[in-house]
Amino acid sequence: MNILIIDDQKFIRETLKADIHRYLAEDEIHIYEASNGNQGIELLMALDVSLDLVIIDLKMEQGDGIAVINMLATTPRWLTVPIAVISSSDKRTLELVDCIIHTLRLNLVGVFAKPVNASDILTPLLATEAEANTALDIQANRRHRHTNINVQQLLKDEQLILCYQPKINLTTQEIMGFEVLSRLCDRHHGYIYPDAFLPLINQQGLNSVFTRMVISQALQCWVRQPLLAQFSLSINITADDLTCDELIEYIIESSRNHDGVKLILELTESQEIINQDRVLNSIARLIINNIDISLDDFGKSYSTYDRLDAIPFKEIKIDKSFVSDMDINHQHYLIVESTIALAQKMHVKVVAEGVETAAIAGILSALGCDVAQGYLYSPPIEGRYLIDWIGQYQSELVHGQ
Amino acid sequence: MICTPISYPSKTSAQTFSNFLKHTRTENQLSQEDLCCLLRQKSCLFDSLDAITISRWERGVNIPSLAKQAEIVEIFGAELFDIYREDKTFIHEGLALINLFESSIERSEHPYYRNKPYRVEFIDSQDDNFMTLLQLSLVYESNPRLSLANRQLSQPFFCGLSLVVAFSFGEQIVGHSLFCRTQAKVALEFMNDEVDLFEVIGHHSQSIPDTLMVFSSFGVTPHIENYMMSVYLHKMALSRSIKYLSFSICDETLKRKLTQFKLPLFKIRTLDNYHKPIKNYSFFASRTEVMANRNLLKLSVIPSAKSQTIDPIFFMQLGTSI
Repeated sequence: MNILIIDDQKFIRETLKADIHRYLAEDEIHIYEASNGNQGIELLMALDVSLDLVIIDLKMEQGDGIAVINMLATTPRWLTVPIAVISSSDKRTLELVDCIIHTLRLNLVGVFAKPVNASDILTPLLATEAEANTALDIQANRRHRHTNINVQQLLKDEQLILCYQPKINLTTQEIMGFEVLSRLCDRHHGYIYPDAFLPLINQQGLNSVFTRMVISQALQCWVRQPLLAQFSLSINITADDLTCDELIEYIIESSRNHDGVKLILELTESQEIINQDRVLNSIARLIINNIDISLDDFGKSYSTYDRLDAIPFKEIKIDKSFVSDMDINHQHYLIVESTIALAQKMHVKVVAEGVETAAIAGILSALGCDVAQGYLYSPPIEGRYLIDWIGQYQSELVHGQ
Repeated sequence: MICTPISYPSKTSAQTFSNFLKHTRTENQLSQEDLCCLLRQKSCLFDSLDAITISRWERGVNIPSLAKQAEIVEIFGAELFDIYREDKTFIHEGLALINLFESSIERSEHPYYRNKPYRVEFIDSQDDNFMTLLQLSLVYESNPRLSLANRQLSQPFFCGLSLVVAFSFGEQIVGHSLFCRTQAKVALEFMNDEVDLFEVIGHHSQSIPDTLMVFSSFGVTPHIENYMMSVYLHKMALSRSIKYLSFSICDETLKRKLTQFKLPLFKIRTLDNYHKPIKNYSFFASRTEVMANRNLLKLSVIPSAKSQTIDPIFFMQLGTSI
């Protein structure tokens, strides 16, 4: 087993070395050492053996731990080497580093607060090795299961069920509208969720058929219940959908036929290269026809600001990954804060998704966020329970609960 | 577009819904045409439904997905659970599932236990042995949020917490589950680490509890594991006021099992367990999501009593005969 320890304190290196030898008593172990980041990087470049583990301290003079991590991320041969980060920095910094390494898709064993026992690092490392084979099986199995879903047949059989999640005005607590969330139902397991079926739908080129079905069922639901007319109806749409003229025609036509329904289309981020002109063209037509466009999952993709510049959005939605833990994750708090400020300056309504606790709702309200959506108010509601839910929510609101 | 839902491979399952439909239609003196109109009028899921499809459903040629069945059954004031628990064949399928559903990940067999009969008991928080059994059940639970060690707590604190324990010969514990009823809001705060376990079980609100929250569920064999799950699923199904099922767990085996059952993971958090990071998994599913899930529905119809003895060998025979 080959291990590299990069730490500027000799004492730490010695303790770790002794610990490792004790823990892996029978193995043949080579331990390499570096006393700062730059030395570590040099060693990594020169090294002609493969490594089974790199232990990195964060705070070092002459090249810190982050520099080493960045080097590993840009060197193909080190992309998969197991990394353990040790540091005496505070918990938030450790979480941040954890997050950075995950984004870089490196093989992280863990981020450990000092003092560290070698066993803390080696136990998960050896466990991952042992699990590696099973993990591959599971992955193959999962991939198999996903391709097992016959989306085309499910759509043909109309196995689409829509749920609705309320958007709440943070100042008045009143219901503003609902976002449509789709589910497919299969005969074996009940609900299938968008993260599983949307990739398949896109892959098979069924997205415009699918969006059409969603819009048709949602509008049906709104038309049947006059009570719902006062609430806006938000439906997800992809940039890909916007390149389909027939679909745009269908949406505009449906909206005209259902005059009382306030339709909002939430444009989700997609990585595909899109024909920008065609998309902008479609958006212009939708807006002219009184259909609002909302920018969904704000902040999740790098192209966000680009779009914000080009498209007159009525609303931006802050992604739930930033909102749900903003009370304990300072980075996320700052992102949400500046997004709200940006939206206010641009006179765009801002919706925070993923609001789960009263504490978060309180913070958002103080920051001047307009609308909140999340499990605090309600999980997605099946269409048949919608009216009951609204009744109950409104009566609780009146009775000041 | 004609509505032609997929048929189930197994005939017995189709029977339950077909019988319900025939029975309800005759009881309400409706023709197939009338029923079709009624469904189209009551729900936007059946916009293109026709009488031919109804006739197919009644004959069991094909039937709609459980989620759609739920929509129909609820129009007539019942729930999927109500109609499926009445069907002996379906209960047998559930019993067979307890036995047949082996997790795809190999688990080493328990050294001291081999499919012998075991006794399942609901332990009341007033019971003399409650504290001891609770501690014993949680010995291998590495969830820091369930750590009771450093708190001097008296039994009244635990009133509201349900502990179910499986004993094999010689009073050896071979399985357990730990759950309570609470409010969805409190459950969400617990999942976000804003309140602790005692605030969840000690939370006395005037509103009726709408959430069943599971903290721990374990069995030394897949058989016991499934049976322990069936206990709280049955509890949940029995009370209609429970609208959500939630889990807050650190046990990887249970997490894998729930994922295999296709329950969506709600949230993962990293907790600090004596300076070691440990993953905390949360699940949050609506009543319909639970009931429209074939495996969960099957487990939920298995009746459980305050104290009963289960013989896995008997279950196995049942499993093979079906």
